[in-house]
Amino acid sequence: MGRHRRLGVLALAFLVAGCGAEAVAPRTSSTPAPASSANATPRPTSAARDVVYVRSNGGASPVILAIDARTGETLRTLNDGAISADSATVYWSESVSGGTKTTIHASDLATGKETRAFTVDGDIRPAGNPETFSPLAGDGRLTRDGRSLALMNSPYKLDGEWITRLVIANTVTGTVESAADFRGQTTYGFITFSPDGRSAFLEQYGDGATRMRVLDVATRKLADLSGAGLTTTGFRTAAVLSPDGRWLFRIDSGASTTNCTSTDGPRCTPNGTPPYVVALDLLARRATQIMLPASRLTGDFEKYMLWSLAITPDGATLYAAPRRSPSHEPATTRWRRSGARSFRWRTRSATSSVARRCRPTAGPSTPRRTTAS
Amino acid sequence: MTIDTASLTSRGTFWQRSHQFDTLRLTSDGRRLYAMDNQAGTLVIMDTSSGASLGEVKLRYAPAILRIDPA
Repeated sequence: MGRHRRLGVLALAFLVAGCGAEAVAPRTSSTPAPASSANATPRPTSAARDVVYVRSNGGASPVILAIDARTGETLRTLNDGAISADSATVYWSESVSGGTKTTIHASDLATGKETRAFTVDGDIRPAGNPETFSPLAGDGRLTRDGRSLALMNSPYKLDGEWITRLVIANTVTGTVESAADFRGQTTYGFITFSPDGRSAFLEQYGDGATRMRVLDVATRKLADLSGAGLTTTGFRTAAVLSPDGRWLFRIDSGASTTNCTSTDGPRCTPNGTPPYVVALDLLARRATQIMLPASRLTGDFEKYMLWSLAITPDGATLYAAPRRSPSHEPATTRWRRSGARSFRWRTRSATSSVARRCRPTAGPSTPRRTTAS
Repeated sequence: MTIDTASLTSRGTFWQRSHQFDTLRLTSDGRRLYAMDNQAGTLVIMDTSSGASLGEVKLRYAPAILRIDPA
């Protein structure tokens, strides 16, 4: 089983070859490895002479380590935070003035030197969870031009209502561009910005489901998206972005539970949902479901947590790799997108695997829900 | 496994039988692959042309490889 999983992960790595992209595959157990004597003794451990920067959660708090690949020596340790799209700068937060204000520090990853800092009101930190987001570069909490940074508080309850505060800071002027307080019985998480920085996409948690919403940065109004796949009761894998930043893709595990019981008889219509890829157009604020090919489906919905997504540097093809195909062979599923945004899966055989891809078809300009062929 | 994305055919397979990888990243020239095995606490470095292991770095839990600066 491990062999097939490794193959799937490696396959995705090479699919994105040439763009320096990162591919992340979730695993059944993400228990941190025991503390090691890492980096304690600088000595040659590899023939590579690169400097590699990793996010590390192995200590008391997450940090970024700059490591000499040849010796394993830690050259620098930086505070963890939001990474710019060019992977040059990390923005990290420091609670000051008794927790009433936050200083945002900008540090150069290559040198570790602080390039600037500014202070905003409130006890906030870079929004979102970078482990659930896998853009080709950066971590989505900054706009692509690096000017806007999303910050969020830890939601707290006041008078029976949860309060979540989202602040969008201008990293150039050090001022608050936009801020919004969300009150109610639900909390919110940050996903990413649209490429033009006009929209901030959020997840709303409550009532047993997760729902995608969008904040209009200029008006500070929270709005609904259009399309399908906006609400889920299942698990969604880490998101990947198209290279132009317009499209966001995740696999939704769907839900195996239904309203039917063994005594309901054949008239009961199950309301479980099959797994699918949710494609979110960040500019149009519209979502589309791309149903997975029927041959790739399994009754074990937990397996969808282990799928991986990767997109080619030209943004034309999305690959989805299951942990294990029904035939117990590694496989990829390939989806192609056209300017018309009309989707269709196509089956194609590849060496030792079965691949599916979705090719553009003539159709309406509005994305529509499609089913596997 | 290396896959030609145009033809969807395999270019080759390299085995790292003692590892299960969580995070992968290529150098900008595509010559080296860095692969993190969090269970083992090991960052494995591979030559992408031959599949040969260039070495390993012991690391605590590292969920992301953010950047690689070639020497």
